[in-house]
Amino acid sequence: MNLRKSWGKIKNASAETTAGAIGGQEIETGQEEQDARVRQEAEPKRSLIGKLKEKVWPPIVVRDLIDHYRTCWKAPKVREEVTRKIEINTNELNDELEQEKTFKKERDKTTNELTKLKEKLGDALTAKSQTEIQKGIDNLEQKIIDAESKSEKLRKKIEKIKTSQLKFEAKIEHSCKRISAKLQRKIDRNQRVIDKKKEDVTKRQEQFDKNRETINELEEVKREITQHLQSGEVTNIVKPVLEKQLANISDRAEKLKNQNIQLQDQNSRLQDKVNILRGKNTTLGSKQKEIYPAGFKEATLQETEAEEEDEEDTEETAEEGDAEEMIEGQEADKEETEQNEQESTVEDEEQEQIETKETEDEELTVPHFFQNKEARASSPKVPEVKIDNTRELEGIMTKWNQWTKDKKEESLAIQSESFRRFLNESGGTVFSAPTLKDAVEKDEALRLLQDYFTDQVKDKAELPDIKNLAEDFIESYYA
Amino acid sequence: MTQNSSQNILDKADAVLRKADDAITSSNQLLSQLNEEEEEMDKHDEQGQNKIDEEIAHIVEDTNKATLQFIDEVEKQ
Repeated sequence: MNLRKSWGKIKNASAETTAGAIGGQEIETGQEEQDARVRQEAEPKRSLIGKLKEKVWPPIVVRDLIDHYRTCWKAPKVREEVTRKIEINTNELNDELEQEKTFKKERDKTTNELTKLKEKLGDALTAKSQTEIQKGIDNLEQKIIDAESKSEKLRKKIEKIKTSQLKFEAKIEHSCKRISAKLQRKIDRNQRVIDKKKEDVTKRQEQFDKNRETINELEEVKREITQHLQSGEVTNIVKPVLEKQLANISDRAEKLKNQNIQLQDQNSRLQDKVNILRGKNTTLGSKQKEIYPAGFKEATLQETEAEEEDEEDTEETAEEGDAEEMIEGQEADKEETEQNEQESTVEDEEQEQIETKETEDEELTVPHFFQNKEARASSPKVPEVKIDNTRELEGIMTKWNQWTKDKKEESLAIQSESFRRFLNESGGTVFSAPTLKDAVEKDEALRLLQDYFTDQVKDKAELPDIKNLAEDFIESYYA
Repeated sequence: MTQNSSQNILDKADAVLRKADDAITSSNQLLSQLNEEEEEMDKHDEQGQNKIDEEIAHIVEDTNKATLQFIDEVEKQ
C-alpha cells in the first residue's frame, strides 16, 4: 500500500515537472555533459526504479514510468526538479519504509504478544476448565461415595429386613407346625373317644344279642311250662310253683326287653356321638391342612388310601345312621372296625409324622434318628414305593405300629413315617414277604435296619438303644 | 313221669331265670356304667380339648406378637 502511495507521489511530481519543463525545452546547451551529470545524479533514482521494478508493479506501469522519465529527462530543470522531487519522495519513501519496518516490528511484536496472551488466555481457560472439571469430578466422586454409603446403608437395612423376614417366616412356620400338631392331638383325642365309644357300642351290641338269646330261651321255657300246665298232667303241688316260675319268666323277659330297648337307645346315642366326633375330626383335618399344608406335602400313598377310606366310611356311617336294624348295624360296625384299624394305622402314621416335627421343633428328648432334615427335604412328595406289593408294605407297617404300641415306645411311634421311607428305600430286597420267610435274610434285615438307624441318629449315645430296638423289632417280626 | 317232666321244666326254668338274672345284672351294669363313664369321659375330654385350645390360643397370641414385632421392625427400617 505504501508503495502505491509512493508511486502516486512520484507520478504527480513527474507530471508537475513535465508541465514545467514543456516551456524550457529550448534550453539544450551542453546537452551531453548535462546528460552525463544527470545520469550520474539520476543513478540513485534508477536504482530506485530498479527497486520499483523489482516490486510487484505490473510491467506496463513500470514501462510507462520509464518512458515518462525518458521524455522528461531531456530538460535539465525538469531533471533537477524531478531529481529533487525524487529525492524528497525517496526520502519520504525511505521514511515510510523505515516506518513500515518499525510498524512491522511493532506489529510482529504485538502479534507475538497477542499470541502469547492468547496462549496464556488459553492456558488460563484450560486451567480454569480443568479446575472446574476436577471440581465436577470431585463432586461426582463425592456423590458416588454418598450414594454408595446410602446404598450400603440401604443394603444393610434390606439385610436386616430379610433377616427379620426369615425369622418371621420361620416363626410362622414353627407356629403352624405347632398348631398343626395341637390339632392332631385334638384329632387323636377325638379318635380315642371314638374308639372308646365304638367299644361301648360293641359291648352293648353283644349284651343286646345275649339278652335277645336269653329272651328267646325264656320264651321257649315259657311255652313249655304253658303247654305243661295245659296238659293237665301237673300235680296240684307243682302247679303253683310252675305258675310262679312262669310269672318270673315273663317278668325277666319283660325286663330284658326293656333293657334291650335302653341298650339300643344308648347305642344310637353313642353312634351319634361317634358321627359328630368324626365330623369334628374331618373339620380339624381340613384346618390342619390349611394351616400347615407343608406337613402334608409328603403325603403319600396312605393319604390317598385314607381319603378313599373316608369316603367309604362316610357311606358306611350313613348306613349306620339307620340303626333300627341292630344286626345290620353290627355287621357294618364289624366292617368299620376292621376298616378303622387300617384307618387308625394311617392316621397314626400321620400323627406320628406331625408329632415328629413338633417334637423336633420343641427340642424334646426324643431320639433324633428320624429327624434328618436333609433326608426329609430331599424326599419326594410322593415317595416311590419300591416294594412291589403294597399290601406287604402295609403288613410290615401294621406290625411295626403294633410293635411300637406293644412296646409302649412313644418315641418309636413317631417314627413310623421314616420307617416306611426306610422300607421303601430298602426296596424289595429286605423286608419284602419272600425274604421275610427266609431266615438267612433275617440277619441282613437286622444289619440294614441298624445301619439305617446308625446313619440317622445324631446323638451317638442313643445308638445302643436304637440297635437293641431294631433287634427287638426284627425278632418280633420274624416271630 | 309227670313229676319228672315238671321237675325238668322247673330246672330249665331255674336255669334260664338265672341266666336272665345274670343278663339283667350285666345289662344294668352296662346301662348305668355308660352314663357315669360318659359323663366322666366327656368332662375329661372337654378339659383336654380346652387345654389344647388354650395352647393353640397361646401359640396364636405368640405368633401375633411376632407378626407385630416383624411389622414394627420393617417400619423402623
